[in-house]
Amino acid sequence: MLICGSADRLIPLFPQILASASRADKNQEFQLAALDALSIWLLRATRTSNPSTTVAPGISPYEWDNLISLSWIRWASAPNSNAIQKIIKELFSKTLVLQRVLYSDWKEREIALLERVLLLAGMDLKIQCHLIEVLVRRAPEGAKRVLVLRNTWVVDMLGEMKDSSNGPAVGKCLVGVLMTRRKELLDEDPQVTPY
Amino acid sequence: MKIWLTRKNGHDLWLETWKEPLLATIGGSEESHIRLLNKYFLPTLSKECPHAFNDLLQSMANDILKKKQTSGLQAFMLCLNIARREKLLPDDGIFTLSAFLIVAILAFTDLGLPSSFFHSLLTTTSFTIRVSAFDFLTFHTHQKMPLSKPCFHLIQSVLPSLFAEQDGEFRIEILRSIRSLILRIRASTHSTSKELEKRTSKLGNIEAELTLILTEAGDFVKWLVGFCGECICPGRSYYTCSMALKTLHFLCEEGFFTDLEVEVKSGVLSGVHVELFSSSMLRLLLDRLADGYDEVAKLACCLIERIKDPTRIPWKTLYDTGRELCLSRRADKAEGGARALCLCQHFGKVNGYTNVWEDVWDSLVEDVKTGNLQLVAGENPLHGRLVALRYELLKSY
Repeated sequence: MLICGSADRLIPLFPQILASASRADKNQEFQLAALDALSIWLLRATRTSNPSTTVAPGISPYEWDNLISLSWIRWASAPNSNAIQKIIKELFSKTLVLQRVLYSDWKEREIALLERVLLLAGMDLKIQCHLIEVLVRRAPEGAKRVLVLRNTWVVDMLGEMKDSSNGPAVGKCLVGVLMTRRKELLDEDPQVTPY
Repeated sequence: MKIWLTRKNGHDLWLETWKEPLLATIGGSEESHIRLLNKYFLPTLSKECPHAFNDLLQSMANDILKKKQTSGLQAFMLCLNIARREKLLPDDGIFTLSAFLIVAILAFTDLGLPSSFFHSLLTTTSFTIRVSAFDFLTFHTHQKMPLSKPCFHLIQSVLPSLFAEQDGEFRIEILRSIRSLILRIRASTHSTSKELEKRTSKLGNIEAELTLILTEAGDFVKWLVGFCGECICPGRSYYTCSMALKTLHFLCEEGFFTDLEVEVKSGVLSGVHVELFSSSMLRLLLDRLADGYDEVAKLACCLIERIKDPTRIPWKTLYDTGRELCLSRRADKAEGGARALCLCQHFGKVNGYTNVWEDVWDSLVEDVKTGNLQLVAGENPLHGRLVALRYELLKSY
């Protein structure tokens, strides 16, 4: 599929590409290709001129929400393949980049997304850890929000490490959030000893 | 009246967010959970923020001292080992071994704990603590740092209990520590002997001290070989026997034995050497060829195969016993017999047994040709001889 760079050509493709990327009933090759196509689309959309005025109006709130939640929904429904999981993670980061260029209220959106991811029940722990790790670094006072919103989060995550299959993801996320929190405190209080 | 408000700084606030939850989780968790925390959380944290990690260690040591609680000991030992590996402990900067110091004890006293405390950890009931303490005792970030005599004594005192452990995962941990201990002895004695040759010491030791380091390491290696010999005596458990043979293999691979043909991969050659094949050790290893555990028999066979002077092996007895065992109705004995025959064939040029396979094949065909099922099933089972042929064809026994 040829994805051209201009906004008027990109916008009509979006619903179809998003729908294809959401298909869990196709074979692995199709799913990989569809997610890859969406990833390329996101990159092109980010690079168009004035995306906030050209691309943003062409995406409905419903479609945007589908795009945002695609990461954890497809993580659960896609085949357990490293290549697919890698591209799903990539998609999420690219979506956040696009969000920053499309919407002026991207800060509020990132905060809301962090809270949504943090409080959403039933999400696979590995992808949840990845999303939290990414969002905490981007959202203003992201780590603080995590620790305030779920005040037992550290204890819960340490407990989650009982399951050896989650150990690496949870450990990485936990250290990521704690180190971000340290940086936030360092910014607030310059007396904090540098590492 | 002036009211002084103590304002917590950011660092303290940050520590509060995770330290207590971490200590509480570790305090109330099973060993398997602690092991996962040790693998996936603590090392990353120590790399990202060594300062915080030192604070954590200090806080744990204070808890042990003040509250006299030992529930946090496992975590404390694990954290200490991580700190050692990340070169966060004070002794890691020291490159001179003063007064035969045990670096582990130095680390403990630096944290305010009594020096006798470390000894108790090596004999505690918790296996995690014992293994961690043993690892802590033997590991040093500078491989060339020689081990002191008291350190060797401590190792000697704990090895019997560590070799007898039955948990597979922990035995792997112990073997890992033993391997790093052997590598450290190799590196430290190599460096010491080089310095002795050049009469210049980076460690600042005079000639007598360098000689003492080599003597003590040599004595320890001799003791270790003797100890491993005791561990493979008849009647010892599989666990002990397997640990001893694997330790001998480590020593063999690192070129500690003078009477074994080994292609040493590393250019760092040990400064001390010992003989493996005393007459008693040779007998013990030959006996293990027919061990009920295939792993043990293989390990013993691999060592015998590498002997430099095969004339020391009583070939006639080995051949006769091999033939006899080959006809055993017990599979382990029959396979042991097959292994003995393989060894005879392997060293055929030395012992004259060059037609072992023809003999085995002929006897096999002869028994089958008789058509006497009673004889083949009861008195002359085929299993051992078939296994012997397989060993020869695949060249692996």
